[in-house]
Amino acid sequence: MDLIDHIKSGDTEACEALFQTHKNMVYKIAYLMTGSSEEAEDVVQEVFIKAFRRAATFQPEKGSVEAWLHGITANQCNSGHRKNCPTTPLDGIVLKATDPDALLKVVIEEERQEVWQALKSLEEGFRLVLVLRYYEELSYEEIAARAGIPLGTVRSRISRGLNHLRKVIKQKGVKP
Amino acid sequence: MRCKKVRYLLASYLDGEANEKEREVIAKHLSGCQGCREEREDLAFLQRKVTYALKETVAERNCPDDMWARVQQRLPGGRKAEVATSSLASRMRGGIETLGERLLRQPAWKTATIGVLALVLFFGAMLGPPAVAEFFSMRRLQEIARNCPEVQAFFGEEVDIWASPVWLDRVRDGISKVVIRGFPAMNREDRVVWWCVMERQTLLATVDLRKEKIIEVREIGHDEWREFAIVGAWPRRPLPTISLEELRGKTHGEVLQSIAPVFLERVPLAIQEKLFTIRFDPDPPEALGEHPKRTYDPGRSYPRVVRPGAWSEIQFVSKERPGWGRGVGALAGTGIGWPPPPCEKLVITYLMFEGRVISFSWTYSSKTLNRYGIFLGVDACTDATITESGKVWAKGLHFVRHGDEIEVTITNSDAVFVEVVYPTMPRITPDQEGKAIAIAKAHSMVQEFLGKGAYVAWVDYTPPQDEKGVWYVPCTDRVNVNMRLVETPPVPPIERDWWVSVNLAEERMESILETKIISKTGVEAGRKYVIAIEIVETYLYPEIREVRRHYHPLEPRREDWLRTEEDVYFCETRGTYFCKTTGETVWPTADPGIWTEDRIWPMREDTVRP
Repeated sequence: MDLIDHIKSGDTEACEALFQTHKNMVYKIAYLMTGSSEEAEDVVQEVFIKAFRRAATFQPEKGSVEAWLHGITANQCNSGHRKNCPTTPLDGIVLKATDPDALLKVVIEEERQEVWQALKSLEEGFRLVLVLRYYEELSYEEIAARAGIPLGTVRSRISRGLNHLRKVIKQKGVKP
Repeated sequence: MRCKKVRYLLASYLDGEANEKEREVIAKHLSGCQGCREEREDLAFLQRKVTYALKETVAERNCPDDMWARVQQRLPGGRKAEVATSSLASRMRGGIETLGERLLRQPAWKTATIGVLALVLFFGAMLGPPAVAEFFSMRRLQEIARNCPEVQAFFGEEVDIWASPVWLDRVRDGISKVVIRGFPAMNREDRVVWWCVMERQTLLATVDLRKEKIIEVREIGHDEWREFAIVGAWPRRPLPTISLEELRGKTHGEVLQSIAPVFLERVPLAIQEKLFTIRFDPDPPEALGEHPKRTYDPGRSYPRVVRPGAWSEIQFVSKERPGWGRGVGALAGTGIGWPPPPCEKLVITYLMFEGRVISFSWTYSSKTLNRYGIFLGVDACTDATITESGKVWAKGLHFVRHGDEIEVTITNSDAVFVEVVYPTMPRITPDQEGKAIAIAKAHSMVQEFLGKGAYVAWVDYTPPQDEKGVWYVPCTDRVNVNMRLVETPPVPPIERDWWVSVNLAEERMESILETKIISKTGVEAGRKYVIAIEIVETYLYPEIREVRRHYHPLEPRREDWLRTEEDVYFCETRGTYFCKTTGETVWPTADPGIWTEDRIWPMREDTVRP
């Protein structure tokens, strides 16, 4: 019996094992999609509750457990009507006078923030394909399967999403 | 295929998702279309930035520890499964811990090797999500770079080597690219300059992560800098130098035309045009920062011809609020290695002597001194205070308050680091400000005395302390000002033992009544020297009547400045040695048991930077 079979039979240990193995992956995607820790935590709960409840629907021949959870996460992120994403504060950078690159780190962080803010300004459908492509590094075909959209739409959304990002970043005066 | 269609397909082309027919058509189109090629580069750069932003944003974020408990509560049966937590999940965790413990028991090099190999295996042969790979292996890469003989030979001794992976390529078969830079070693008493004085080329190394070895090292190309910007590798190279021969017979307009591109190549043209107006002043007065700025149109030619000993100045004046653009940072990085903070107005000025850049300054004004502004002065700046009159003169650092707006000017040469004159003063009174102006004035007087081509780059002013260790500047006390002369263009001959007396006007310090040079002797060109300046006596603010200076480049200046061990005590609370007679701070010299009140004195010839 594999893990999913244990879950199907109501084994909470198996549930926890599945949760512990994939929680960070789900959480990170949820965070990238929502831009909020609180909402990401809500998504994680919903995803795993759904996964445990729908374990019987899991079909190993169609993909891995990870891919299955991906799909649930993508749907969950897409389905929720969420609050506005809060901006992420510039934290976590310790500036030391003796660090030759301290200010440089600020610049890099600033740029990352700009791109991240631009990403958050995208519509969910566009953001999802970009996250799956450039964070998860999935192929277009895998993205289509997990997001439940046609391959042509994936291609179109990636192209248009990047173009939109470029415009937003350019408006802020940073050359992409 | 038309450009529009090609550009639509470029993302999938770059992602390797275009079909064979599309790839052929796109490749053919790109070979003949410059615009689309640029579009491809921009898009590829954007894709890397997006990848970096996504991965970095969640790199440190993990699911909260209590999340399982929250999920459990919503499961049928509530928390009843809590007891069972130990079994399967714990076994999984236990397995990992055992592996970790096993790794820890290995020798360090084995662990490191396993770590790097694990990294490579984890990300696959050509996967290497660069953002993860670069930070994961940073420490190890530093070691590899430091131990590489070619790198050591390039940078020489006493250099801290800094290395960072770059985006140029993804990790392929365990091979990655690394940018390496060198900085002067820190924490040395005889180091009077900071890291930013280092004018070394930046290296680009190819590293085999599996063998932990640098395969190839080369200097970084000027056209590659943009690629590195995102990962913090900021290529630096010596400021541009144009020989007098090249300049001879040219008009200033022509000189500017030849100089400007050297600065500007680091900044994308679109950003230059958006951010800056470029001005040129072919003949500013020698005293830096004390002349009105004249502006010239770089597109025009000016009749005056560059002559030996000529100074000129190029300015970049922000057209509008530049914000935090990469272009501004890159341009500022040309001179100092730092980008400026977000600000309302930015002026970047290069002062040149015979076509060579010898000093660099930027002035920006900001509504408030924000976190970046505070950081600008590094640690010393955080202690700086603005006087009631809204001015603080400091070493290369100048604040002016205009209502709610603060203007900061930072002056730098290619071999100096800014520091604040009053490092720990809680408040600077007008008296103290006057004294600081005296120092600034002395600074320019030395420069004037030494002649064109000499630039005094470093000033150390130590105000005395009272018995509680509080800094103060009494109006009638003696103030020692030490300066360091940095070689720039050849220093004109001066005499070895000379003495200068300067009387300052009673009413204002700005007018110098007398400058007297006692004697002169030859000084080698291309060397750096220590100049000691003593303000012997001062009177009530701001009437400094007399400033005397004497000069001994490499030997003790006055015997009575030396203290024996009996005359020195150690103050434990402050961790400093003091003279029992004068109460002044003293420093150990190179001779055991001999102390001096002058920190610079024991500087030996070999510790003076060649």
